[in-house]
Amino acid sequence: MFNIIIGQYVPGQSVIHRLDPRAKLLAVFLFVIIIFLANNWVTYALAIIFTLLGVFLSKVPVRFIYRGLKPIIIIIIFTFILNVLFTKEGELLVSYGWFHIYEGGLIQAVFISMRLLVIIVATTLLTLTTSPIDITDGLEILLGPLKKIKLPVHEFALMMSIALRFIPTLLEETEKVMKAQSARGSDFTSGSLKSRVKAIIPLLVPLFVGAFKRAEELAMAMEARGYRGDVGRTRLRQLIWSLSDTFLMLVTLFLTAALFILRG
Amino acid sequence: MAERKANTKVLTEAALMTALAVLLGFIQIRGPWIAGGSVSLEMVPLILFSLRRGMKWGGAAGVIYGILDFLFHPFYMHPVQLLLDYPVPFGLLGLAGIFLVREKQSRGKKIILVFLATTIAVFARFLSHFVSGIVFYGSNAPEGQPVALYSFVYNIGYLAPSYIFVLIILILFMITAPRFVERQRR
Repeated sequence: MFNIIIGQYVPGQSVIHRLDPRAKLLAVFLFVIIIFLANNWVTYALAIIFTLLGVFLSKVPVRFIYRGLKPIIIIIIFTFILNVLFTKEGELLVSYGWFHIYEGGLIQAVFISMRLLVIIVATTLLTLTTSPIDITDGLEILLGPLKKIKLPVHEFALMMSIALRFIPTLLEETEKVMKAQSARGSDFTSGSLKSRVKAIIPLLVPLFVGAFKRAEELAMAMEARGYRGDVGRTRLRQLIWSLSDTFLMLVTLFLTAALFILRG
Repeated sequence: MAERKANTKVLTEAALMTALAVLLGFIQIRGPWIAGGSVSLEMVPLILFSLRRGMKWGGAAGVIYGILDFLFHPFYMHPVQLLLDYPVPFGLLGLAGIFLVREKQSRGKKIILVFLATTIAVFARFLSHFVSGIVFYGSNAPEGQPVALYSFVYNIGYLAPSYIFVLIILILFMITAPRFVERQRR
């Protein structure tokens, strides 16, 4: 019944790991938009080289990338087949009863699958090489200008950080509660669906009680230490923009220009 | 000063409920539903929190859950799809907060309110995923395909069982510990 996978981050010391999260966020954000510009072999090849270079430099074992792709492969295959079967352009390659494959359809199917693969590998690479807390910090700074239009960026980032901080704590608590309830004869893993749903309630209620208690204590502790929102707040973790971050930005901008020029 | 204090507490509650939602999202319930979307209980804390603290805070917690969900299970195909699959649908769960469960209402009325809140929240979430699916297949499938049908089948496949589970659990929760579901005064 339980299948627990936590986070995607693979700690490391590679060039990609050490990049500033702001640079990585900006680069990936730009990349997944400009990929829609690619429409011929040259432009797709460039995008693929860019992505593979990132994978290579990150030194993340390929099986982690594959794990990120696994849930999506069915969808990619499905769209591939749809495009092969239902695009009627170019030369007829195969014809068998109602079953026709056209050259245009095959090319379009390959392009669209390439686009989906490249997009997923790029976003997966971001979450594989950047810890969630770094992403949160990066997002808060990048979205900082939105504070001007009264968007509570700081509050959102703080909630995200707190949530991330407490996921492992709550997980531990869940295990404790589960053991305690099992000791009382509760059974979550077998029996009919109905009895399992019933067994969930004695598990959930203590979890919520614990979470609300922690929230109250945390709020009290924050206020005791003078938390008053965003005003004049200092940070423990400072982000540092280095030369390699500027370099990444330049490469991404260069790729954007190349895609504009080389697209058919 | 009093206002500020209440705010910090609601903020930490929202964060903890989001954490709990992420945690419950990891626990996937296996069953005879279509592979892909998963059946899990991440909506329980989000809907409960919307009922407890109202639409604005509930929606905020949902949006944060959506962003965290993306960090843990990134699935990006198209900018519009990204918005409609992560922050928007979970933010819409905040709609549960339009219903007010109060201490002095009868148990029957509270159960009906929880039922209505869950139904509307999950339906709004479904709509968001449904439109997202249309956008996705619209940009990746050839012309003339029944993209709405694909999206409908895919999304109803996991959201319908999720809805039933979440509804049953929220109602049982309401009966066991109503004080968590009732709207808190600041």
